[in-house]
Amino acid sequence: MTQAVAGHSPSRAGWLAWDGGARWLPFLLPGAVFIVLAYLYPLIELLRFSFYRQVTAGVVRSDWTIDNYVRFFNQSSMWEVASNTIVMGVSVTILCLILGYPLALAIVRSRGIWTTIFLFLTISPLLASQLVRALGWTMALGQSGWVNTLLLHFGLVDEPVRILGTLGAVILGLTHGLLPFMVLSIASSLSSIDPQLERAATSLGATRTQVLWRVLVPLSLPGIVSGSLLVFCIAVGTYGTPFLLGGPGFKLLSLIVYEYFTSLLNWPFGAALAVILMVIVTAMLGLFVKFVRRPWQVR
Amino acid sequence: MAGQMTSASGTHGSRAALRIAVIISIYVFMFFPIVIVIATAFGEASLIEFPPSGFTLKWFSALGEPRWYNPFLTSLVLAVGSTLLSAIIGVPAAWALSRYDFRGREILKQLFLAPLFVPWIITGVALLVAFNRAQMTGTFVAIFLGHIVVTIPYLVRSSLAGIEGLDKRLEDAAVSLGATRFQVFRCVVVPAIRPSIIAGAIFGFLMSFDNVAVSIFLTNPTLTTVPIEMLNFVQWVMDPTISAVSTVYLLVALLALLVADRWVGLRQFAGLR
Repeated sequence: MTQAVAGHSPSRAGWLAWDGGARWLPFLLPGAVFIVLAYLYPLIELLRFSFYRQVTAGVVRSDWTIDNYVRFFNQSSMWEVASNTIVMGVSVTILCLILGYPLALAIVRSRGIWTTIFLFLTISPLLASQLVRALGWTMALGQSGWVNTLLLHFGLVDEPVRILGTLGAVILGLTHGLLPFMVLSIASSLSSIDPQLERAATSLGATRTQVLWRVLVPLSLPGIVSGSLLVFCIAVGTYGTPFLLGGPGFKLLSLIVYEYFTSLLNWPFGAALAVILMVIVTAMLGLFVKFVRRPWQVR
Repeated sequence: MAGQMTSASGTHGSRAALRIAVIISIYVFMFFPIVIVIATAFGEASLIEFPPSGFTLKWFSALGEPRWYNPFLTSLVLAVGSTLLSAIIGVPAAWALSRYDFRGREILKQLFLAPLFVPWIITGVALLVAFNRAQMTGTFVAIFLGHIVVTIPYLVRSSLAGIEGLDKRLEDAAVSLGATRFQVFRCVVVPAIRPSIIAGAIFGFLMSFDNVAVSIFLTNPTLTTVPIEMLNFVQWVMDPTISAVSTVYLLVALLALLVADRWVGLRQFAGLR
């Protein structure tokens, strides 16, 4: 053992020592140049644009102003859009967690052919484009859609209910769309837990509920956290699904960012909205990580 | 005693039944809208109805029109091309990032993975603003570069994970036997992490193929992708054509999943141990 470690570390140091950075450059450079030019630079340019002044539609002046941000904070309708966005993102994340955890557990506990079947069933909806799935929901949830027909048939409602075009429909569609991400993230974390731990807990008298909350959930926390972050970030940054399920007049930050950049042609304000969305996401991520770590504090 | 036994196995059985019921209902929820879309593609009525009446393949003929096959071609070229290019520049970068220690390494690593955690709509408008400054809006190159931004984080992430699980002494051995850096990469690293690369590539392919938030700012009426054309289409018409297009679209993605299973196995693809 000592031998292996001793043999390992000098060779590592040696390898790095006898050739410096120059030999790594050809491997690193193309990717690094690309990501800086095609990703970092556009983000900086977007940030800069949010401080430009709009002259008329499509014409901007490049002087520094915070007017775009002031406008956001003075407009109560914008606050509503922002809170809608947060409510939507948080609801989708929580619903994905509730639906995703049992599924992830089932995948990890299954054996042989069942694992493949479960995985196939979980991943294949992910492949069926977000738009295809959103279209399926618009067909099911419309005034004369399948869900309303059923509700009417069983006498649960007297007239078709308006489901499409509400925040609820968007939350439903996005939960559905992002569930596979959550399941895969939790499953990958659960699969690294030693099954013996569960057996040990049971043999020491823990009930199934205790095993779940005291053993499985704390140990799969990394998967829960990364899955939730992923789901939240995708949910608030998606355009297609909320556009189709929210219908005309429905407002989320992602939808109005698009509006200001295309039909309204006010790029500086649109850029400010994008920066605000970024700030919201960063804040939520920080909050979430802090909030989730506290109750267990696993070391 | 016997009574106790049966009651114990009875609660156990009902608990298992409940668990199965929960899992089945979640899967029904997941497949419900997809089944609707596929079923309505074969209905005879010119309005989308579910359950469909009659059986026809006429809606699939729309795919023979340039309105649909051009975007299909564009989407495929973009997805395949951007995934390949991401692999060519992303995998070596991931190797260098995990084996070569330098200042700013962590920042660069996070920059490669950042598109996963920055809302896509922001990436979309940022690219629009930058390409507008470079006077490249509406060109194929702009869309192509945009799609590499979409695919590269998946390639880098899975390569980093693959290299992390790789014994570095293999590379040291190759170097001590006189291999050049490029030979180590090509003959040791790439074959060893091949499953990770393929898993990342398939994810990247799907994300590019499915992308709306970046494409929507970079496409134009003459150069468009399938998702964008679908969005345009349903704003005006809602007939089974869209279901037929969706069905074919789904088949392409399903094919990618089957490839994934054949090449690397679903467990690996899903990142399970």
